[in-house]
Amino acid sequence: VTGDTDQPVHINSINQSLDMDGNIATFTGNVVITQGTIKIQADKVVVTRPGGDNKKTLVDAYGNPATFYQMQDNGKPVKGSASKLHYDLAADSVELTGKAHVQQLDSNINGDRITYLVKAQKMQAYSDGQNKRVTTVLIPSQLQDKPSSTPKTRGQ
Amino acid sequence: CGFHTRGNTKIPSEMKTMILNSDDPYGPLARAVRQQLRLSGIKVVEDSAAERMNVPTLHLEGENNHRSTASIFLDGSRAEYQLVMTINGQILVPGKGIYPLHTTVYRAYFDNSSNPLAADSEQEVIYQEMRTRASEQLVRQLLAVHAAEQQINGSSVNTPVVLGQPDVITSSSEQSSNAGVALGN
Amino acid sequence: DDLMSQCMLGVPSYNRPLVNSDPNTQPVTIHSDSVKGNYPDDAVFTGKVDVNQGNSRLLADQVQLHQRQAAGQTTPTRTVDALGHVHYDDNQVILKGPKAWSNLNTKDTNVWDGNYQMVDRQGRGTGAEMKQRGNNRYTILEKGSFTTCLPNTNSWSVVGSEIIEDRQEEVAEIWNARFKIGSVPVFYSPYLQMPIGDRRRSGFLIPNAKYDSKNGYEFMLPYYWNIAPQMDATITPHYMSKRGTQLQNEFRYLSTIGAGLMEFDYLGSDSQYDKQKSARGLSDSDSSKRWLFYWQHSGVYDQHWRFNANYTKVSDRYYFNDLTSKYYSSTDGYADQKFSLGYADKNWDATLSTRDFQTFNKLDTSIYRTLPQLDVNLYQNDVGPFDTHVYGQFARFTNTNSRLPSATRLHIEPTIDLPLSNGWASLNTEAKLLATHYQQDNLQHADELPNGGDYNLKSSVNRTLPQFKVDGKLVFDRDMDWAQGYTQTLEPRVQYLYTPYRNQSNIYPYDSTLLQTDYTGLFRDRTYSGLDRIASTNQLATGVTTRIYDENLVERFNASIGQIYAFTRSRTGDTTDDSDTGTIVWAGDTYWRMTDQWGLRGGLQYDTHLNSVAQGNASIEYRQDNDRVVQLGYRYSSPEYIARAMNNSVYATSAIYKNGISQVGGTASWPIVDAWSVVGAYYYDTRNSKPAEQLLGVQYSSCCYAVRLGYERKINGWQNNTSQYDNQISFNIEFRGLGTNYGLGTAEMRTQGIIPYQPTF
Repeated sequence: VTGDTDQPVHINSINQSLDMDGNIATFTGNVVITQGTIKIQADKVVVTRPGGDNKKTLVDAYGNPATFYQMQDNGKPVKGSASKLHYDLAADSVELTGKAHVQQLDSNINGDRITYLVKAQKMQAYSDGQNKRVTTVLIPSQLQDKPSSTPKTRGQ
Repeated sequence: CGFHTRGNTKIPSEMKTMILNSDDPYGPLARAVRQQLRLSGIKVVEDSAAERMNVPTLHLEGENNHRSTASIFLDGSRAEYQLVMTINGQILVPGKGIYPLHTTVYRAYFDNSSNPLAADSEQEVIYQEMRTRASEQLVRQLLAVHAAEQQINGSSVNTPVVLGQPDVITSSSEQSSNAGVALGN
Repeated sequence: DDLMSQCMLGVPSYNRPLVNSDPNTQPVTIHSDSVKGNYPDDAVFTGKVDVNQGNSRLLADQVQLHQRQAAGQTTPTRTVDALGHVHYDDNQVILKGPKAWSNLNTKDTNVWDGNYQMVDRQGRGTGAEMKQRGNNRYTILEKGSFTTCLPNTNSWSVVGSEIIEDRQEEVAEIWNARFKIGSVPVFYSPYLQMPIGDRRRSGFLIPNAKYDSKNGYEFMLPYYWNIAPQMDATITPHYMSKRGTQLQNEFRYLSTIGAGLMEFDYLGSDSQYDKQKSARGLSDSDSSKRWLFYWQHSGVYDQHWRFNANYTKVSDRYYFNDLTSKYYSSTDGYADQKFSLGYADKNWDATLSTRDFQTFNKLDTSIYRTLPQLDVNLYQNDVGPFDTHVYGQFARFTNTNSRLPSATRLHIEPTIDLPLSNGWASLNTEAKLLATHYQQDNLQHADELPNGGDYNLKSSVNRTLPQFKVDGKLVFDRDMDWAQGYTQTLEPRVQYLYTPYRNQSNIYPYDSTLLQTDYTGLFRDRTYSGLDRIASTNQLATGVTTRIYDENLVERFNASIGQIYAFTRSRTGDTTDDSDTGTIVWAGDTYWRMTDQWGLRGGLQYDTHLNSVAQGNASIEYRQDNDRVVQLGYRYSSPEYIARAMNNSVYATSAIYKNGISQVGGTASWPIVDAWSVVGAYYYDTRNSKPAEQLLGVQYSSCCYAVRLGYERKINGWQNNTSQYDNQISFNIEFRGLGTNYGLGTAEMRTQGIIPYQPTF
């Protein structure tokens, strides 16, 4: 939802290591980052605050895959997953690379690299070369309304 | 010279009794075929569920006749009509299969435009003779049906015969699979 | 059929797995190189974009997706705009163009300045704007074109300001239609309708154009009217430049009492007919209206009732010679007008019928007809060893010329048979009594009847005579040593027939004519047809048939030869009695099916009294398949035989008939290189050394049209004592690819002539 990015960021993981002067913190092992409705889960997360400024925090999450979740104003959640998530608080943008997948209630998209502007709700997806393709699937409304008992075949 | 009284052109014993059914059971064709079956020593029995199981059924589809000009006089009017009568039917042998029967009879006669009534009466006489001849040919084709069954039983002893044995008797040229030929005279 | 498979090669087929559930329940999958935009409400897909939903697919360089949630609507409406090399296809149609728009919910799709091609069926064209509507049912073209020709050929096309192709009704409607041959527009119509399939629905059928030296330029535009499930009609305006516009109406029906067809053709005024009136000796005041009514019906109701009709009536005597139709031949000398209503049961049947005729014979037009006639048969088999049968008839004869005599005939004919048979022999002894009463009136002008002088008709005549027949058959067979597995039979047959002499010169032969004695006729118990002449007989007919069965016991060959030996002369009391004693006729026939492709048939009748062949015919044919046929035949009838068969002295002397029949000829049809088929027929009268008929037909069939060129030279009349020839050139164009007719036209061309092709085997 709007205003997520003004919320405080909580990170917990099995272990953390901190490099004070470089303002880099590395978390490994079931890392979970929450900020408002945003929630990122990954195996390893590196948080850097360039120049110690909280506003410009950069979060790099690595996982197999690392997942991203945010509830939107229209009540439809957005989920994403990729082998690497790069979350730039200042730019309010998330960049998913490596088998990137973003899913909304009525559509999902797969590609090599997807950039998602959280506040502006803008998204861009790229395939990185010759035979690589971006795949978008728009799900028909009937399937959306009833919570389908059978697992969605396309879910990750 | 080797001729002896009728041997393998005899009516096969399994066809000594038969049911005859047709959409037009009392029409001239059915009557001619029934008479020919009787004269050939085949007993025609009434159709019933019980009988149908152990006695072959000869189903007559009907006759279709085609009449056209065969020769003309010097004023362009018709001299001779040529008649072609085609009879189609099937014989269902219980446990053996359904075999198509198809026979064609060709005749010609003089058209007499100065006395159409007499020509029409002659045509009736000729159609009746053609039905008799076609019935004789149908009965003779039962031999080929019987021979075909022997072949199947001979070749596939254990497997039961599936319905719709390939077209054994046909004169239409495109399906002349295994030298099946219909009598036509 | 190879032409069809060739045409289908040029037509795309749907090769993706067919999804037949409601497309709106299918997800939309979009592949692209990249995606941009306020996803998913507005997104731009670029780079070889491939949009799939159910059976539909859209390819383009770039696709813009817009998704709007209309107020109060649960589902978002999704529309796409496609740009660059747009290719839309589904299991019905393929649309290509530079730009396209599509509404994914309603499946409505527009493609601009593009072309379309139907799937699995011929039909393509272009359109300034092509719209898919009604969930892929309609293709609507603004300023579009339609043809069924394959992509590389543009033989014909229809261009219209608007074209609507309805795939459910299988019809294409075209407004401001311009019909083009190649790129040349040749025909305009504000509205044109063309079927694009075989579905039975009301509407115009494929128009047909031809040129014919007798009728000039002809154009037919049939309209099919699907009245009801069991009734339909085809109404065809038929314009003929040399005659006028004829309206042909064909009405077909099915009912519980049988199926039938009625045809009514009407030509308001025939200008060509007017021109020929003087040559034909007709007065100019005669009407030039020409019409035909034809009704054919046959049906069996409840297995017992039988109703048949065969009725043709035309406006004038030359109708059959001038106008062509599939219901008669120009060689018909008369038109049947017969009705019959009958009831048949296991042991008896009764038939009430009327037999009337409209005659076109130049020599005389007074003919007899039966109005009405009642035939009754009673059968009782197995009365002890006997079979019995009683035949009764009542017939009322009247003549079209009311001056001539009329008659009532009552006939009763009880018969008793003793059929004895075992496996290989049968002996049938038959005794019959024929009792006939005649009431002939209006006899004062009897001498004006044909051969009237030969008879002295009485008003009341009774004729009773018995008949006795013994008919024995034997069947021998043997295995043929020189042909492995073959069986040959020998079937001798002997029949003795006795009928006493009765002088019948006081009865006019209303329906009696000499029957043809081919081999089957040898064993007939009647010499004349009908009942007015029962010739005395005291004769022995003997004959033998041999048949050869192949290893599958299928009959391959048979030949028969027989003769009639008369102990006393056969007489009826007519002055024309001139038969002899001793062997009076030899007759034989043969049939030989050499292989599946080769067949031979023939028959011969030798009249010992005249010491000459009375009648003979032979025909040999090679038939590889329905299109490849070569047949050669010869037919002979001696003049004496014809004179006796026609039983009319005029025939013996008239130049038309006096040389008899000696006709050699044949028919051949052969396809060349799949698309061309040639048909030729040639019949020559060797006695009068005149060709009877020469016919040549060539048809080129392609996937979207067929052109047929025909030439026929035939005898079509008799004027100032010589045969009148008709030269007919016809050129016929037919549009193809709409239904499933891919034939080469050989069958139609072969039966076009006055002596149509009849298979020999």
